[in-house]
Amino acid sequence: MTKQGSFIVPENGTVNVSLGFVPKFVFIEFVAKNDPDVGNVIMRYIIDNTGTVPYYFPQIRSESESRDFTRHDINEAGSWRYGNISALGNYFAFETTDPTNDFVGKTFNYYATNETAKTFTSASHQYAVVNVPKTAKDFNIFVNLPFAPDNMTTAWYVDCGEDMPSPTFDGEVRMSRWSIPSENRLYYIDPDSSPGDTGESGIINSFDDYFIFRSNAENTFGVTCYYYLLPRLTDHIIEDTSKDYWLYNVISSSPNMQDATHKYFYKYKASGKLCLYEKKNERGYDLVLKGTDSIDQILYSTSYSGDYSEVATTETHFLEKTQAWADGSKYYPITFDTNILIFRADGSHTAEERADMYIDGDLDAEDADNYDKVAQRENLKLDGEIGEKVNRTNVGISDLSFTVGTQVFALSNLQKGAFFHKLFDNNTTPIEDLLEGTQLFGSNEIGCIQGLHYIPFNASEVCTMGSQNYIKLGSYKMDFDESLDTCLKNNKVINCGTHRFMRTYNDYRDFEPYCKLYVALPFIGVKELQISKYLNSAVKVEYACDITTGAVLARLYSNYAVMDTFDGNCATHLPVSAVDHAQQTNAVITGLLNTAGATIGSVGSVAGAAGGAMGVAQAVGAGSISGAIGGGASIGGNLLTSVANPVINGYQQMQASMIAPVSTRGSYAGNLGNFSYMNVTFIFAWLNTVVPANEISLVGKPSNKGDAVGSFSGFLKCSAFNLADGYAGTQDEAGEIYALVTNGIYI
Amino acid sequence: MNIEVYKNSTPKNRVYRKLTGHLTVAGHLIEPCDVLNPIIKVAYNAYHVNINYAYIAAFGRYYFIERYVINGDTVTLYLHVDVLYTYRDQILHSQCIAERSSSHYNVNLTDNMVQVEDGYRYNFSELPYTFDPANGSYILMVTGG
Repeated sequence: MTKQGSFIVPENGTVNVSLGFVPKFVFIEFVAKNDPDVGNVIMRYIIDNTGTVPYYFPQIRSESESRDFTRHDINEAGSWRYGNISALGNYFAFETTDPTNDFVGKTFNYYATNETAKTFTSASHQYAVVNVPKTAKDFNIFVNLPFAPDNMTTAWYVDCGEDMPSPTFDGEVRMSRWSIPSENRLYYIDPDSSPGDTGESGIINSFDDYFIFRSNAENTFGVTCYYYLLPRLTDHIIEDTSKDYWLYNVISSSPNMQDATHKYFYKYKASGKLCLYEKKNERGYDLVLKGTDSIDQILYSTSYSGDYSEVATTETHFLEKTQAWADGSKYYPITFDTNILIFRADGSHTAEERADMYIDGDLDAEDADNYDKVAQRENLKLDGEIGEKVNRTNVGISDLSFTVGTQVFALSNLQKGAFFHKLFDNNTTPIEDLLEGTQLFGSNEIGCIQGLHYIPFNASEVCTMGSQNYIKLGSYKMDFDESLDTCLKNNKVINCGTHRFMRTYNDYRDFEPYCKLYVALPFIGVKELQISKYLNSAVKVEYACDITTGAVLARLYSNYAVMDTFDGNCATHLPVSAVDHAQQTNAVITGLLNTAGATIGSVGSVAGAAGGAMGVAQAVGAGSISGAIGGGASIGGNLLTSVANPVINGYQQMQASMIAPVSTRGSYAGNLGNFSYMNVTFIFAWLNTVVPANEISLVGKPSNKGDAVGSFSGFLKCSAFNLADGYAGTQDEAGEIYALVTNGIYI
Repeated sequence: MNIEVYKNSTPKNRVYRKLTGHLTVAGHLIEPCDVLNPIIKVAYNAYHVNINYAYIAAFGRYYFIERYVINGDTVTLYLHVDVLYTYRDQILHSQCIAERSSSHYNVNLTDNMVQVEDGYRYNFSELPYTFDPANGSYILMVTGG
């Protein structure tokens, strides 16, 4: 039997995926491209139950993380932070325990089989090639080489078919791997699956109607091997190119909303172009919707802010201008607003022809009658040339190399001790030889030691590493019994991870000054960020480190654009000479003074090395804001006595009285950074707000929308008002009308 | 002159009126007459104390009855024009910019009706990578070759 399906990764829990049979083999795959939560990623699990003991092998490849298939026992606790296979029977259990798992909620595809495998017989003792038939639909291949129960070898070829970014995913979209569980080893083979590979570089290559199996084990001749052919689990992901449209049209039999006969509030998602064209009639024209074939989803409501529900059809004729028909029918467009382009006739073509030309690509959007308005709304049109629009910003990678002449070693504590022990031991380092080798450095014979400092992570995280078993001091060669890590190029960055911040209130309170966002950056300090840069986007932080000084640069990305950078220093310098120590002490003191200077004036200052958390706690008390913000003019004036002294200057007063709830500070000096945050930590601080429950019906919400008074309903307070033509009252009455609408009326 | 009187149960700052108890009464203007604030004397009727709204066709305007003064068998009504209802069609057609609205609002605009309490709420979110000072590297830089 086989079963193919999907499951959703649970949050801190287990999902039991029922199969109805005990599988011999399960393949799980998740592929994402430009996903807002996880970016580009391929994640796979292989559950191998063909031997006496079942194992599972997780694999991940993303822009920031790479882990090849590694063998784990079923229910091996904490074996893989993105999810373990915790049980296997006539189901498999997928368990997550890490609440920061970005894959929670994602849909993983799986294929399971318990069927009898097909067989082939290896044809040679070594590096044998066997052509095994398959169909073009079989993209994944699993091979079992039953040499012995304790020496089971499995191999697989997987192909997700996705067109993933190069070079990060080169050799990852389709790959061939094999493992020998008894050795707990994984063999890295055939990264490119190119035909004709020989030797150890190939075990399975897949072609349309056959696959080639090669073995590099000595005893495969004549062995019956088993294999399973599996379909592709992940179809090619087509990026969502659909566009959102909306059209609001309220039609009334009189100039006011109360007599509205049609209320159309439509939202469309369309994979193609939508447009409206003008269609003349006896008393004016309708606007007719074109391109409805490309609509994938229609949402409809009877009010602008109402609940939208999905419907199967849409009205196609809309009213932009008033029509009064001979039979007495009157149609007033109380509301007409849309981001759909409108085409009207010109000297050469009818409106409908022009709409067709637009949909067919023969007419540009700029030729639409309302292009300017729509483009401004959609933020497509900006005044002035600002350069080419990009979705990601480029950042550099250092190409600095350390080779002969100046060398950089990354030593363990023991190796550091061994170095100095050798240096100062005349038996291992004859002083005459050392002096001769370092005579270029004058009387300062250890001047060839350019620096010694400690960085709080392995140098391999920021450098391409090499190794050698000696250190050249000048021309003197100091040999070591063991290999020492050398930094060849300072060309890597540390990916601290990605997070996505969603809006909390979905209104203005998600932004400053009602909410503030800070980031505590290890070895840099606590910095305030502008919230709008980071909300509703994938926020990633990278650290670059200058290995020679410990200077660090934190790059904060929003999606793929660098929004902020901050610098600091993570190195603890270890003085080699008294001169070094004096200079370093001076630098630390200067750094502290500068830091203190930067902190003075802020409330809730950070004292000492403990850093931001203490600052936050202190600031809670100090960073308060007066809750009682003074009143001002009333809405509705004397007419609306139910409104109790609303606030007019509240916002300005609050801005003036708000004090930062989290302290910010500069870089740490010395090794003080080692005592502060060790993870990049984002800190949101929200003010507690009190919203009256009846606010909307009583005094509305801020609007700033412009339209005819009749298009509004409920409470309306105008900031600008212009009486329509036809008014026949007195100026005193006009003044009274103006006073009423600017104080607030109910419609 | 005849005036139409009603009982209005809606406040002044509503555009529309809920009028009941329609009655046509005969009265005469107290001159000189301010059309926006006319004073009309009608014969006393106990029902008059239940009315608070009027329409004078001759003036083409609706009025609030703001005061009654009963003097023997006559009642003097002090009126003030209701501009919202009288000119409702022109007002509804008039263009405006809404500062606040119940129907068309923008939640991303700062709302100064919302008050702020003392104190903040905090939320800490850590990225997964942890710097580990216990497992760092000693970087030794030397000149030699």
